[in-house]
Amino acid sequence: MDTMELLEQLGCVEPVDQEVLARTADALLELAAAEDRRPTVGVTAPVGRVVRVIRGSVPAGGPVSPSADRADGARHQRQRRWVARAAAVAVLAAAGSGAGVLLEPGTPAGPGTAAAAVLKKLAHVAADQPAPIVPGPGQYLYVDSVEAYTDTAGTSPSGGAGYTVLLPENRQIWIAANGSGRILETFGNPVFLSAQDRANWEAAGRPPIQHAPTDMSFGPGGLVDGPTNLSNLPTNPSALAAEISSRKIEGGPPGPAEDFTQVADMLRETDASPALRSALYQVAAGLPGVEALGTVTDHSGRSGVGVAYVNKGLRHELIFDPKTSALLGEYYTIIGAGSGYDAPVGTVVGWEVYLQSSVVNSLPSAPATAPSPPVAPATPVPSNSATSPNSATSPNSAISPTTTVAP
Amino acid sequence: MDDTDEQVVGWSEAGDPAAFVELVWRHGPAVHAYLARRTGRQDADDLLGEVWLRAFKGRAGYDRRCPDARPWLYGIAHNVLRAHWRHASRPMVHTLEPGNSDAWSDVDVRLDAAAQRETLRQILAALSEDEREVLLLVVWEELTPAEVSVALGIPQGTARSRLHRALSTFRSNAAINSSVLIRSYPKEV
Repeated sequence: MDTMELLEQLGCVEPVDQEVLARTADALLELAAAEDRRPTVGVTAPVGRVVRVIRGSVPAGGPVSPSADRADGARHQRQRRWVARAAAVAVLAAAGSGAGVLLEPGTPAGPGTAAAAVLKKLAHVAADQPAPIVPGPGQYLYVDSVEAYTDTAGTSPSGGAGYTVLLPENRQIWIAANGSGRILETFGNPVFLSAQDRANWEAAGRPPIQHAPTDMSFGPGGLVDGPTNLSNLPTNPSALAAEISSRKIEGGPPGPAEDFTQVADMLRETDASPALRSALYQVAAGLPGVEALGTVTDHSGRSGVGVAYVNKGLRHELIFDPKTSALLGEYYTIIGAGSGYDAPVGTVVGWEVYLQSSVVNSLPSAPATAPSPPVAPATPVPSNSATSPNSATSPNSAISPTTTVAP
Repeated sequence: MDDTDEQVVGWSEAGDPAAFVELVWRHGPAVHAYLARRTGRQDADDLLGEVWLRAFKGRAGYDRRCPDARPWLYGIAHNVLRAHWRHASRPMVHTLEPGNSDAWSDVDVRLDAAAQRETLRQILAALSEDEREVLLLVVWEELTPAEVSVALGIPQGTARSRLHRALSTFRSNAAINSSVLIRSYPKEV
């Protein structure tokens, strides 16, 4: 035993508890927030005008056959992604029309920012969470969410302007380990994004835009497609970032905007392991351009920490529970030119809240039972009557099933 | 993908103070270990927050030519420890207390080591506080003499001479098995 080795050994100590580190990080974040005098750009004020589109594959007015095939299943499982993509496509189409994308002044870009600090903290919290219960044979991962998205329709080859509505819905999904399962959806009142949208709809002869509830069942593999199976993904952040950015998990255009989208995709309606969730947050922390929003409120009134990515005038916001790192909700908001929406800055064009995620032993008995009512928001959602003649004023009124379009 | 500590501190000074928290995840374990080696784990838990508070408030004083923040952080931790000791009892090196943990499995080695441990303890206690701090920063925190000079705010030459004196004290101690006296410490030069 060398003397110096002995001395070195005497310096061996137990590593610090993650909890002690987290406490320290919390204290500093508070200090930093007090010191941070930059104008805040991200505090969410739900505008109450959300849009959601008529999905071409789901006939409005009737339940879908339980024998939906695998392709349909995969499509619906990733529906939110398609909606987000649809918005992005619209944005691309409009991008040539002039005004550039507005970036908030003082928004830092790159890892090492406040957003990275928030996400790294979430990564540590995520890693310390107990592993989720994985559905066994005959069991299902059940997720209950309320959401609203824009739906644009009516631009027919025969002419006539299109119109956009915001359609709230309650979505319940049951996913078995073998990829079979079921999706129940009930819809609230569609809301026109603007008076012009309503006029266009009237000019088109008032086609039905109400959605009847849907009940879709899927056979094995119908809900979980190969590429979205999370169990094979690396949990090393660098390796995961490489897989995402090289589009090995899902296709898509290159760049951090799509990276951010894919990270969000893997956090919704999944039973990702603590290690994978932690890695996903670390990947997000390394993306240039992610913004920290501080403490924000989701559409059901729950408080959380927000991060966002702005792409072509549209801000995609993710809200997390700081205690568990769970994804609470999302917002898509117009914040500048080029969003592709003919609506003012500040208009929310999509939101989601995740209300419950658990493992259950059975599917609900057919016919579909009425889904649980959405939670009431802590504060009323303000309507914007100047530009939205029939805005939904709260998720509750928006989600209540009706058979007629609001006048 | 990772930025240097210097860049992170730069962001935290240029309008994004929360960026600084990244350093807690990077170096919090090392700073905690520094404290735990000198005061024990419990006190280290208590003192860690104070170190980072001072670091955050004093981040303008971080020498941006130094890409690694650890020497700077150890320097702050050193000051926090000194204040702590002033209010507590006499400074002592926690891990050298008799009866502390035993890391060796081989019995022969352990017996030999146990004898040397007591000797080590005496020698370290005999060093001046300045010499001991330099030596332990090199041996435990694995700093170079240049980094030690940053941590303690002393000229590099002073750091080197103190390290040299501390190592000489070790070598000249007859109680230590002569076969291990000659080795020069890699970071001595």
